[in-house]
Amino acid sequence: MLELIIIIILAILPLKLLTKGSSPYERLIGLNVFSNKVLVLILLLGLSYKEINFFIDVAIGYALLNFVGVVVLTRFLRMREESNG
Amino acid sequence: MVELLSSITLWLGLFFLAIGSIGIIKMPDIYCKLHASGKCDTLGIFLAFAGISMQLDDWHQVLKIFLILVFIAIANPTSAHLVGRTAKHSNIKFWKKSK
Repeated sequence: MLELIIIIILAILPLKLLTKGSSPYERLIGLNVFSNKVLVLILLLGLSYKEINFFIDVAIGYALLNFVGVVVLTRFLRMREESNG
Repeated sequence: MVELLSSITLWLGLFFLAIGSIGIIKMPDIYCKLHASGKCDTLGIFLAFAGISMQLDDWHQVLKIFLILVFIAIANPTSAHLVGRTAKHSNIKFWKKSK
């Protein structure tokens, strides 16, 4: 139970960077770190519910979606920089 | 014995996740923040997932967690590299220590 509270606090900390970052890249790092914390939170929730089968599948989808999101956003930022000159 | 080992590994992972989460706020530069997020988060997730998978009894679930770990070991440094390369390409300056 204590580790659930600690991992929720650790997931709230990067939201400061995600909302108030100085550049889009800092916000992207904040998003990445937040997703990693939520990944651990999902499995800890499944362990405390004693029903971890479904939560592992959710964690697989979340990890894939996190990586695809970072790749697409960096590609978009780079295309925007090149079109601006 | 397995309970104790699992608890120690899980708390060690939470410790590394805490270092990554504090370092991303305290570091001065975007590249230093990439250093904190790329290394500490990967090791923290490895240790935390290893601690969780020690408490399971079905080997299917352990295999799935191992597959998540293999994917994260490839994807997490790759995304850090992508963000750093894009920031370098768009001329974001390195941080220099003020005298």
